[in-house]
Amino acid sequence: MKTTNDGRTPVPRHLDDADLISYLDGELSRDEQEYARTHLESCWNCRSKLLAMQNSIENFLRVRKQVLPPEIPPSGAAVAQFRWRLFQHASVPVTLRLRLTTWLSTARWRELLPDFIPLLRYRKAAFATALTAVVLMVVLVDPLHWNRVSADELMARADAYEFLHESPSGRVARATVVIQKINLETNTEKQLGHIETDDDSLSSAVHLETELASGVVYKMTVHDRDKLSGLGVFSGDFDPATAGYLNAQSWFPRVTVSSYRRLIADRGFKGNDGAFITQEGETYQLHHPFVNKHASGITETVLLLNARNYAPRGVSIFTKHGDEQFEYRLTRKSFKLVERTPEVAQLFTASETLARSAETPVSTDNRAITDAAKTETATVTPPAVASAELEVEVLRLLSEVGADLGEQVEVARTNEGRLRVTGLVETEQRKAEILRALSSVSSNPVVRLDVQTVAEAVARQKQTGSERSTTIEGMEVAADTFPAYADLRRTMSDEEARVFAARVVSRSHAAMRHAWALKRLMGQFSREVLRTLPPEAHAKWISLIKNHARAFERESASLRQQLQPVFGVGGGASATGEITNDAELIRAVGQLVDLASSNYEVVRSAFTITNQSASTSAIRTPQFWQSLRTAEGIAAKIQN
Amino acid sequence: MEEDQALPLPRALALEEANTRRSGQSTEEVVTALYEQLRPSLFSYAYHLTGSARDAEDLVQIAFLQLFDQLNRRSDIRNMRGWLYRAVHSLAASSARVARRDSLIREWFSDLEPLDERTAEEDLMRAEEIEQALNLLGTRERHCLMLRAEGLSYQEIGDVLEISAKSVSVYLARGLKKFEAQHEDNK
Repeated sequence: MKTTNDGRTPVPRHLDDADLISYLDGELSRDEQEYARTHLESCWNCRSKLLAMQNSIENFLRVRKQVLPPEIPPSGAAVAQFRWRLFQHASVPVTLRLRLTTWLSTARWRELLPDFIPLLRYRKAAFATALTAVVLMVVLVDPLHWNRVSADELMARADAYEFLHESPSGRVARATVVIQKINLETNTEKQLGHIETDDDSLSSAVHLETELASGVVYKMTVHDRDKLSGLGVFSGDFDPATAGYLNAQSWFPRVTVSSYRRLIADRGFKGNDGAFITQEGETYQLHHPFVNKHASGITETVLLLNARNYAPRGVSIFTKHGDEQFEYRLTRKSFKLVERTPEVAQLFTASETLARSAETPVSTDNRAITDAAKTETATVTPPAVASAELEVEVLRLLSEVGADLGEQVEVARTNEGRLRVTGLVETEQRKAEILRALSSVSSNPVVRLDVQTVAEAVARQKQTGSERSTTIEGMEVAADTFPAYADLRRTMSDEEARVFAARVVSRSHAAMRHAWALKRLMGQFSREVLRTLPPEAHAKWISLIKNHARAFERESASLRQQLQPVFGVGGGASATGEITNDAELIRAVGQLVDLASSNYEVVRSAFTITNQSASTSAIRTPQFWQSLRTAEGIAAKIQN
Repeated sequence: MEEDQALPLPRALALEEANTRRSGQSTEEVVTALYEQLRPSLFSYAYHLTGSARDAEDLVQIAFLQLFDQLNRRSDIRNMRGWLYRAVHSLAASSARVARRDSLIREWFSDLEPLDERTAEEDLMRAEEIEQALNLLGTRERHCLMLRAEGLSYQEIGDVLEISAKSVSVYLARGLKKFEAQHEDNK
């Protein structure tokens, strides 16, 4: 847009459509914007064009909304799907190949070529030798290499299949697996029985119906899928060493990729090392040899997959004890997803005590019982209540994996006095990490773990119908700068100012998370419990508190240093004194949390974009700076 | 969601997130977090380009997979949002490339249930609606309007379409004019 005129004639130059839309969008330069504004004030013509333009935008947005899908598919499922896709993308050789291609096509490689060319010309013989060597290497190494990679790939595909097809939310996955024991010397096979599992995607409960070859039927419900482990009634059919290994791996005889992973987890090789694939008709057989003379007596396990869609078909375990060689063959006889009708749902409502029986291996003596359809009702009386010591230990284990910082992980007591760890975490990996950290206490009957991923929670929520719909509001950001923006812009570029703000907020948030963790730790026990806590547990508890206090002090100090150059106000002494007992400690933490929250609020309101009017004045007050220092002082005091 | 994600400034956030998160988190996590954040907006644009919810979802995911590759090559991406829109745009433009690049993944996901309930036929009808509502607009004008509606700046739009910011304003103005004329006719 031209804004100059010859200075003599104040004849206004009208704004064209492009100017008008740029003006509306704030895309004009400052001078142009200013000119446009003054012109619009004086010119009816242009103003009415502007209003028409505004009107068109609204009409356009309306039509756009109509042509967009009525509702964007919910994010939960898409994100879960994307995670898998990314996981595969990152792990399958496609990426490897792509990366290799990219590397080969980069300029750096091309730069190297000219150096090679004279070499090639004058040393043909040497080149020929080198080429032969390369070809030989490719011939020798490649099959091994690709085989290994294929095993990874196969597992990844089987994982994907399982994830997408065998656990759709809201339905029940019903699978029947037949177990046979085959004597490889005599080639005689023996039916051990079959297991029907009903996996409830809604509650993560599993209902089992195990029928032994003798006709004895066991029915039970395990309330937590992850607790489904052990050979149970089949223990006696395995060599004790093998059974020991399988139980230690928390393996349960079922045909799924996830349970197969447990089976091979400690076979003596890393990942898929040494694994190879054979194909028989429509079935891929993925072999995982065990290390020579593996303590379990297992020589190899095989996962059988449908070659068309990678659906798991069976699992075989080969064992060798002395001269005796056996194959335990698990074959999936049927798999289907059934609707969760009230009758089906009833399977999962069995009482808690029934579930417990799955964790205590049923002794082989029980198999003598000949009732045609005996229902397992063995009850295990829970040992009293969880001790405060145990509670401290659980807190410590959680703290070790950082699960006490802001994530929704909670340790609470049930009415019966059991400990219940509930958690909502972002990813499967994180869930596994937390469960692993808690593995030393997870088998304790008074501890209940209920950690789920967001995807799982979303799936559950969807079932209860409380799903929120996603709407897109592309244009409705009222403000786009935060209150402190102007202050920062004096010394920084736009980008720098925004990055600075994001940093400060995230730093402040990090400090706050430690303050919250402190508060939670404090609220965990009553004073009476604290008084009676054994010295060791008490010390453990104190050290958890000190860790968070230290982390808080660190974050808070660096936040202060970040803010100092721009907003700093001098003066103020930090708190002094010493903490001598629990009561003082509780008071100090209470104070710390209050100060931390008010500081956090000040920082947040100055550096985040809000629709409410907020100002930066609080951040310049001596009170704020005093409060920052006091909080740090208290944190230091707690550590001493 | 955490409080510090309240910044509705995808650009600053994406930058900052990439910086802070890359130190502690794997690229996978960074990319997934960005995906969660930017998916709705990219999806709308991709849907506009393809006219099918399923293809749109797919395109957006591929764009993020490309982002993942790009980050793994340690390439510097200044404006991830702009980069992603460009990726979606060029992916849609050369659907042949999409098919080739993604054939492997498509294969495994081929019998996956559609992402939404609507059938291909309905998708087609919807595409015709777009056609009708916007049929007077030129491709450029339409793309500019759609990207602007997603909140992109002229510079960002220009980067996606490989035109200047000034041209963006011209296309936008012309697009709105034509749209309004059509709109009047339909009444």
